[in-house]
Amino acid sequence: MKRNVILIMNDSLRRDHVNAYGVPPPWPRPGHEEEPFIRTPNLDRLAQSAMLFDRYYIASYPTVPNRTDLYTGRFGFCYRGWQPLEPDDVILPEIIGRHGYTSALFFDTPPMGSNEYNYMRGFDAWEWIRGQLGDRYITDPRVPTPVPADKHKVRRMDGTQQYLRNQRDRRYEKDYIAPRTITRAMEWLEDNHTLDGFLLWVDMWDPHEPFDPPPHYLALYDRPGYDGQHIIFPQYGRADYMTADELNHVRALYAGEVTLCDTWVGYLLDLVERLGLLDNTLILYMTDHGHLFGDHGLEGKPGGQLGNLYEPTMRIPLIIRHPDGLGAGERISPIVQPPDMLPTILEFLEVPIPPTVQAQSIWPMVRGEASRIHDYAFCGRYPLGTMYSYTAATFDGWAGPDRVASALTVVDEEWSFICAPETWPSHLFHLVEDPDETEDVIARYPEVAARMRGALLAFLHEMGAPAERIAKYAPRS
Amino acid sequence: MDPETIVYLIRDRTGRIIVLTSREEAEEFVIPEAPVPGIEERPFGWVLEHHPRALVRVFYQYYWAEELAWVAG
Repeated sequence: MKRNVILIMNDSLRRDHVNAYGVPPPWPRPGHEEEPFIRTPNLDRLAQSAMLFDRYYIASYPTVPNRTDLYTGRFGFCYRGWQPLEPDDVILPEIIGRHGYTSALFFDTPPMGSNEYNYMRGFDAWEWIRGQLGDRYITDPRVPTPVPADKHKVRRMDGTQQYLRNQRDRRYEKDYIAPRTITRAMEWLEDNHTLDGFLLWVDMWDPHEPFDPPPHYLALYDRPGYDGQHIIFPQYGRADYMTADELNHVRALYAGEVTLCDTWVGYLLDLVERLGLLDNTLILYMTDHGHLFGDHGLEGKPGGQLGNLYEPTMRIPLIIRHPDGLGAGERISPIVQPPDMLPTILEFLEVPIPPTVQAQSIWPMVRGEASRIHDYAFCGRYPLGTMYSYTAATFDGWAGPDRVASALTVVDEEWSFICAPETWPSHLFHLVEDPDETEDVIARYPEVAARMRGALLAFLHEMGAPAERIAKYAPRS
Repeated sequence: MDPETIVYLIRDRTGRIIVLTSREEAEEFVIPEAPVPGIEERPFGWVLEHHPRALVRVFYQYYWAEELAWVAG
């Protein structure tokens, strides 16, 4: 009898917004000081019977490159950008399909399906739940699309209005997009849970912008009596275009979305249990990157010279529940990255890992046969110049068509080294003493920076980065 | 950004300077209720000298003026 895999993705979910991690709140919640900073009871419940990964770091950033990593088991940012799947990519649904598994994808993350990006490829069934930001869906000009915020504070006003138009028929919580996506996945599960071996991939863009939770979720976090601007898609970059009260409201909107997602993920998990699948199904819950809300003075996922990857963006939640109870209730501290998920899933399903895979299965580490699978996490984005579609590229934070190489970040269990290209300044932070990365100590520890730069250059070379890309990060004379 | 580049300044409701790189964009974003309404044309170098932390909107994100200066190198 074959086993099953359920992969649940919430885009843009910060690690400090999953209560199970128990990390200090990154900011106060005015008016809610005595209450939990974030409510994620269902993820917390999952974590109790699962492994909670403490150092799950992004590899390729942001949304689409992350999916490429997950599909292929490769570190794509070394040599490719935000782009469709390549015809010769060896991808998860096709690999397991050849071994008799059925696969289904339910997603509302528009860049996976738009502009011929084709991230549905290989799945036996897929459904795109329509209406997220940038989804060219509803054109009805009679639908009012008010954005109660000054225009200069809103990123992509046209896309935000398209999003609002897409919500034309929304009335109840169940009509919001993440609930609709979960509902369709649950319906598929009811019909298909007796299949002999399946992969169910549920890919939600929430809590990504627009930050637009049902009002009763916002009320959990917003300052009572707030009557300021309602910035559901804040501009990226320097955050001081918002007042402190506005920024607090944006943070509350985001937290409301997180709890909305948690509620509906909980419904799915309940169904998995009711259908008797827990003893035969690997459950992976993850996100693809974080989001800045005033951290380092920045908002969103800025690019270019403001695109340094810090902990709130890179270090993200990962919860894996093994049906045999492997690692249940444990916190796993060694570094793990998204490309590792493909070999991890394949080993679980007893499907051979193809030679194209660059990453490692986590299971030897979980079983105690290895202390770690990586010495470093390598995180980055590929410059815009490789984009197939500028329209698609602007989905998720690219700074502009200046084709600059962004800084790459190297992390080990003690340090974070931001390796800047060419003449930009690099930075080093001692994560043990300075987890918020407030003090750049590169001048005090040049030997640490040199070691981590050397590791990065070797990694880029090993992963197939072009020589001209590697050269941008070489030591300067 | 070249100090000679002409940029377009508007004010937000608190009087804070917002710098845009085209008049069209400035006209779209201008706030009639701002304490200093209207659009002011200046070379980027003037902004840099007098308001290094003014917010400059370039390609969907805000920089401080001083950050665009060092990028220009």
